[in-house]
Amino acid sequence: MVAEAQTPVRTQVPSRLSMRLGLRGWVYAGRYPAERYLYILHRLCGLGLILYLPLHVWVTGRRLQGPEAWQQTMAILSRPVFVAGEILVLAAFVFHAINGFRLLFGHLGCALGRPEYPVYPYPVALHRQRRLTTALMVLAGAFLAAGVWGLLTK
Amino acid sequence: MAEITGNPEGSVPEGGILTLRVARYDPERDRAARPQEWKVKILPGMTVLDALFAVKEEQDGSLAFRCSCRMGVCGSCGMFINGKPRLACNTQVNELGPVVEVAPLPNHDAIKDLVPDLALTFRRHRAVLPYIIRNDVAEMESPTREFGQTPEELARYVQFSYCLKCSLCLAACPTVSTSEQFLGPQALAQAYRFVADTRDAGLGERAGVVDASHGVFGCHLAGACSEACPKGVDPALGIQLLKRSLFVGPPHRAPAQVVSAFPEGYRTPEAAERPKAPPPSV
Amino acid sequence: MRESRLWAFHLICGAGLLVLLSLHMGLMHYAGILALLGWVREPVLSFPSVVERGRGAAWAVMYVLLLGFALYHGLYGLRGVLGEIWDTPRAARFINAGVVTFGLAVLVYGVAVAVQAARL
Repeated sequence: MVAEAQTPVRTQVPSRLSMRLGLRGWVYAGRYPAERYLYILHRLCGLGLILYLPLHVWVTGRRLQGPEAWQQTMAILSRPVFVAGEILVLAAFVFHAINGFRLLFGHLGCALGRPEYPVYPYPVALHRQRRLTTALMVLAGAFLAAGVWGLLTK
Repeated sequence: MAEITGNPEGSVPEGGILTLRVARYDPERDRAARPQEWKVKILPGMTVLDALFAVKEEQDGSLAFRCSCRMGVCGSCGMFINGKPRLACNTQVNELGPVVEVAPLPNHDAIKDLVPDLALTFRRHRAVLPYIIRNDVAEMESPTREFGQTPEELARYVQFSYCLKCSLCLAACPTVSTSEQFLGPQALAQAYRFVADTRDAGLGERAGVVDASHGVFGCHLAGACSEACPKGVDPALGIQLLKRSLFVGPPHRAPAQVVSAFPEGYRTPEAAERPKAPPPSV
Repeated sequence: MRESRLWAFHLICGAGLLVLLSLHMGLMHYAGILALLGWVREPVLSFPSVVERGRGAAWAVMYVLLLGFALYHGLYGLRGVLGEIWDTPRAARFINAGVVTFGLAVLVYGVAVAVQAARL
């Protein structure tokens, strides 16, 4: 037994070191696979869309002020910075919708396969969905390309 | 780990020297993690845990880490190794390259060096009532016979019953990284392990815990937990099946009943055809 | 209310949005392609075509439904995101009150616009 006098005096140091990642744990997907990156994108796009929605509702209300006010608003919205914003909104929607379609099934335990005996190499349900995930992301890319073309040629 | 990791380029062969970089923390003197490096000679079949032992035995006896079985069964040595939560005893150093970086498990408190505080993990686990819940109290108090369960019924939950409670999935989960209240992949997958057990009738009781804020709907299917799991438990799958169970009920309609007893002295018809044991020689 | 009910409605709204918002975005952003196919004659954002769409009862119902789905789906998501950052019961009450107030305000304004636009 160490005598009490010999024990180091505890100064005001925390007795635990918190390794909680905080928001860094959301945005840093590091060496995790594709679905972990899709989670970040899905969340960012969703947040962007819900912040955009009230702005969009306000813009649609401008038509009540008459044709001049509407044309004025449309003129402002045709500036490059707003067109770029519109492309971002479209990209966010296309991705969020198509990835949301995948999640809709996943969250209900569909298209994930059944539990298996964990024999090495271990089965991972999301890996069984990879083809679907890849196909949906290709589809999202195609929709986005067509949408951007549509926007720029409007 | 779900993927078989080979021997990637840049890894150091046996007999080479490994740089072990550990994020250390001494509650008596540190306020933040303090990196320290050692050189370790690589031996055949060396795991990260072996390398840590080599340091502790030969270079710095003050290095603290927790381990028990050294064979991936007890779940004590969970650490953050080269960017992923892994079991130190289950990770060969030659999979990792010449520099191995080890830190305490993310999303946990470190008690000292690489020793995480798992108390919260166990509290979460206990919260989901991780045991068979039945309504026939008499049978539970004084059991007469076993409950029937087919191999197919066993297969519905056996994957989730392999959980070690090593907390690697909680270290990987993005929701846990901000929310201490979230039950986390370990506990939720265990909730499903019992919900899917044909002997169980406790979905309603568990729903009080998992079907609440910071319950099962805090999972957004990022899948990191299943990648981190060292035993192939696939918590992400269990959690999604648990969500489904909350809407459509458990996979079985009614809890399994005790199997009917055979009459005293009963022999199956095949028993007569089986060769008899030789008479005792002494 | 049980979280599963709120969450199920989040999913139902999400599925509704997949259909309605795809129609809306299709008309707005894929107008070039729709024009090539001959489905759209006038520019979709010109004042006459905007007013014309606002007058139809079916359009008005669609827009109000779209707004309701989008607000519920989006604000339930936002509530989840915020609730995971500030996870105390007190913060939860504050977040719930915030998203409900904000959602109702935008919904009321949006419905008022739709109703008035129908009279234009």
